[in-house]
Amino acid sequence: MKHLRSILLSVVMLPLAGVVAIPFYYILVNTLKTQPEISASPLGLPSGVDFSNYAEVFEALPIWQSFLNTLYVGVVSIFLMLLVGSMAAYGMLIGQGLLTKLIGVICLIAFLVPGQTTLIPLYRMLSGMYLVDTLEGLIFLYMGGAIFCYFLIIGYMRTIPTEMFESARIDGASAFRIYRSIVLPLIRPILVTVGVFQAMWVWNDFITPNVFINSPDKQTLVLQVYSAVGQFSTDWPAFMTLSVIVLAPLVVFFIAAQRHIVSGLVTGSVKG
Amino acid sequence: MSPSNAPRLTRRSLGRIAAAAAIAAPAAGSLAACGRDADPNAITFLSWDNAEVMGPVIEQFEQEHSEYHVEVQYAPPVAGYIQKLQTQLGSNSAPDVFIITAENKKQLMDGAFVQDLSGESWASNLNETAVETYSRDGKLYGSAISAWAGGLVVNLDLVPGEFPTDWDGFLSLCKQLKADGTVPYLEAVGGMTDTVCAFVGMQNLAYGGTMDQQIWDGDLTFEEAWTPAVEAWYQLFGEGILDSSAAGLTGDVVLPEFQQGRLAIMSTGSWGISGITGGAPDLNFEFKAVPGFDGQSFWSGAVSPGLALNTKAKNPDAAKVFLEWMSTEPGVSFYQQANQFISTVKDYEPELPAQLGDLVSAVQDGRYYLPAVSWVDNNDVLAGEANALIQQLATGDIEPVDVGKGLDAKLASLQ
Amino acid sequence: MGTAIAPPRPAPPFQSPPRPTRLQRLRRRGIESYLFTLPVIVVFVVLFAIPLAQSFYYSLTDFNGYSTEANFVGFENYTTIWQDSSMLSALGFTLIFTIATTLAITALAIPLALVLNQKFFGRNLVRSVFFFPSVVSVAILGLVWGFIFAPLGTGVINSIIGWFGAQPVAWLAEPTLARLSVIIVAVWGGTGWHAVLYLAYLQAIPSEFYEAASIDGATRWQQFRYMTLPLLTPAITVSQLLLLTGGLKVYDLPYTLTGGGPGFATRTLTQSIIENGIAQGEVGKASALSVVFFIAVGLIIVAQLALSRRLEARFS
Repeated sequence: MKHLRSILLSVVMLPLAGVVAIPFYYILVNTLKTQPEISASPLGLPSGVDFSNYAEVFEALPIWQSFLNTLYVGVVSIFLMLLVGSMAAYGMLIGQGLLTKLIGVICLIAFLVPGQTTLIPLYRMLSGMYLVDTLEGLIFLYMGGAIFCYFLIIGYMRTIPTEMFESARIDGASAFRIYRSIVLPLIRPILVTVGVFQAMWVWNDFITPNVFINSPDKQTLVLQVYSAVGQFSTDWPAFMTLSVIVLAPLVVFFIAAQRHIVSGLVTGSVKG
Repeated sequence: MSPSNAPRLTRRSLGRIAAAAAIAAPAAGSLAACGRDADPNAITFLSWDNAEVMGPVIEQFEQEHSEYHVEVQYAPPVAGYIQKLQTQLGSNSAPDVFIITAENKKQLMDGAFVQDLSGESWASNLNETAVETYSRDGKLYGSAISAWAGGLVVNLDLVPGEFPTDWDGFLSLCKQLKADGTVPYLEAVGGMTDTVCAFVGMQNLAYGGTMDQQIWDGDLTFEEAWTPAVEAWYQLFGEGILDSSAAGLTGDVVLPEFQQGRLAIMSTGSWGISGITGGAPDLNFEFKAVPGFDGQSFWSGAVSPGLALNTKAKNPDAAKVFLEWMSTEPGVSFYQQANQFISTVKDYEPELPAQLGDLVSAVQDGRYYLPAVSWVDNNDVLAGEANALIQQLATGDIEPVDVGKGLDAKLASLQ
Repeated sequence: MGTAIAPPRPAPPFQSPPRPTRLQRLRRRGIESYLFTLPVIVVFVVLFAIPLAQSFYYSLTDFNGYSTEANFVGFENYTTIWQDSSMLSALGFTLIFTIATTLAITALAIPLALVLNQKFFGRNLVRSVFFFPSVVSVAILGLVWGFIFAPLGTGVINSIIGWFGAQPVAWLAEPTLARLSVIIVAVWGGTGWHAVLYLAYLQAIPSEFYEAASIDGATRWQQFRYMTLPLLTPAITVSQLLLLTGGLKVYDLPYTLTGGGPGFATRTLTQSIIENGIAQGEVGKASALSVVFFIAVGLIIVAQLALSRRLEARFS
């Protein structure tokens, strides 16, 4: 019975995933074709696998340098925003005062700020701190993502039965210890999930590095993708090839991370 | 998973990353702080071409002028560039040389961010239309060395023989092709198309080339000026050559149809030529002007973005050396070979693909028009409105006369 | 509904003899909780509150985004922004888009998350495939979906319906179909992302709950209705909040897909803001629009939160 259901799910879900994946098929297949082949049949299979698009892109652009820049910005900023966000969520959970409620509302406001309008004030602030055109400046700006982390984590914490957090308090452990050794492991699925979401955002963000990074050697990967954009037209084969290069590490990251998303609560921890 | 694992990992990485950040941040800050004012021969430049195109050009300049060096920043056109430049100007950190273009020229001139270049010796090397585009009150604020035009691209194998120069001739040619089983013409009506712009340009000519000024002065309305042009263009729909689905087409969808010989004629700009030949190297095609009323054919098009000099440039003299090089033969010829644009400067004759046909002379003589560039102000809002109105016309929601009426109403609401 | 399943309530507070008085505990908790929330407050003040205050100040000036100075003009910007006639249709489509995507994505993402939480062959692959539409840059999506929706016979959808003898459909050229197309792409792009969010929240439900429920003889539907759904309400609140704010602020997807057309059919509020303000260099006006927009979105969110509080109360 259980076996049968698993087969049934595979039979339904795999073709469905196939339909959802059609646009990806299109992107991937066109990076392996020559220009005349793309124009001859935009959706057809390539006559032979042709990696010249990739070779050209790697030759023309500093892909590796940009990759390392993006990796540095991504790892540091995601670590920091997860830390700030999860601490705030725990603080909210143990605090009952009016002020903590107020913080909840305040964080909501952050969601509503349209990013476009705060660019100039932020630029002035960063330039006063000598952080324009530095990767650390980007990390600083991405810290704003901590609010998003907070929001997803607090929702998750509310789902977890409270006694799981409370049990440790009996021992008189300090709040920081509880946070470190009880809370963080308990919320691991959401930490990983939010980490994945934010990694996607930081990795793909164009506006922030475009405005705040000037030196070619500090460019992030997405800026390389947009070098294929011209005034009137876009070099689509290059754009798609670059996008695949940018996305490949994310695919690997997601596949590695999803094991941790679906790990479930530790059985038995309810009993303390 | 055991609860004790996660925190240990976290703690270790926290320490390492915090240390890295603490070391890196001040170092980067001090570097940026002292790198600025040291070198009197440094030229800062925000390029709108990517590094692949601009990199070799800069290298060549530095080779010919070894005492200078150019610090280039890049931002992709158009929105990304405008946004970056605007932010830099607004916080007093813009480079010495940057791009002036239709989208930002009014703000740059109004705010006195760009220096007058009319006194420079090389200014006379620029084409008259280019000078006019970036001038105000006799002062020149940008050096534009090229222009582009758009019209029809014709597959010469499917349409052999003489190409009509009047609109009625074009319409009957299309009907003939259609009757023979060929798709005659497709146009991606995402908004104002090259053909609409060319027709409005013909009207502008009929009003002595000052049509838009007259509209803004209140002596003329969009309705009067535009309706004949829009009506002519709308015949494409009336004669059954295009249907309402044209509003759902994009240039990227039409292009393969043309490249594969399934389509006889389409419309695009001169910048699209490398896209056509890239996907179809052996296609036999040529650019043709949009056939007009009474055999008066015309083009859509505009002067390309120009280079401007920051009023607050740190090294204006060095920057002027760069501007001169970019605006005269040595720079133009090198840049032109990298970029394949149609240069219009007087001291250099570019070698261009034969498929451009009459387009080259039209560009050099300034026989082109683009409403959004020619309008006096509020260009973006009006362009958005015009795009929407033309689409509504294509889908049959409004009549040709409503396009001009809509623009009149929009302009009135803005003033 | 027959068998009542006891909703999983937190166990009554533990009883342990040596413990600080209630007041002491509250005080200590208060201080600790502020220490924990301090970093996020700093982030908020520096990266959101200060820039937002500046933005509000700009909305009272004629600042054009270029010059370094600006003149105070009072509330003039707030009166002029209402003169844009396309604003109304932009408002209409933005609301349709927001409501449609919020409902459709929620309705699809929850079942998808439940399925992806089961064990079956190819599960990891399916999860990745559903998640990745949200990762690809919108610029590419515009291009690819342009080919899929192409009105010519060679368009992907039109070729498929052509096999069944149907005439080509002009997907992006007809206002209703264009709106539908934009919404379909948004749902395609967002469902997997939100399913992963729900998937994470599902992990917070201890498996003991399900075991207990099975022993009590609850059917799968009962388990879902009386246990999973109530426990998912915080997730639904978070997910819908993101969908609402994202939907109301949407710009790139409709813009790259249709350019806001045909006509004004798929124009959004943000497109109007950008066209009117940012592209024109009228930052004062754009800021005023943003402030109005900010307040409006804020009100909608507050309403949504109130609604979800009531739903949470009803379900648990």
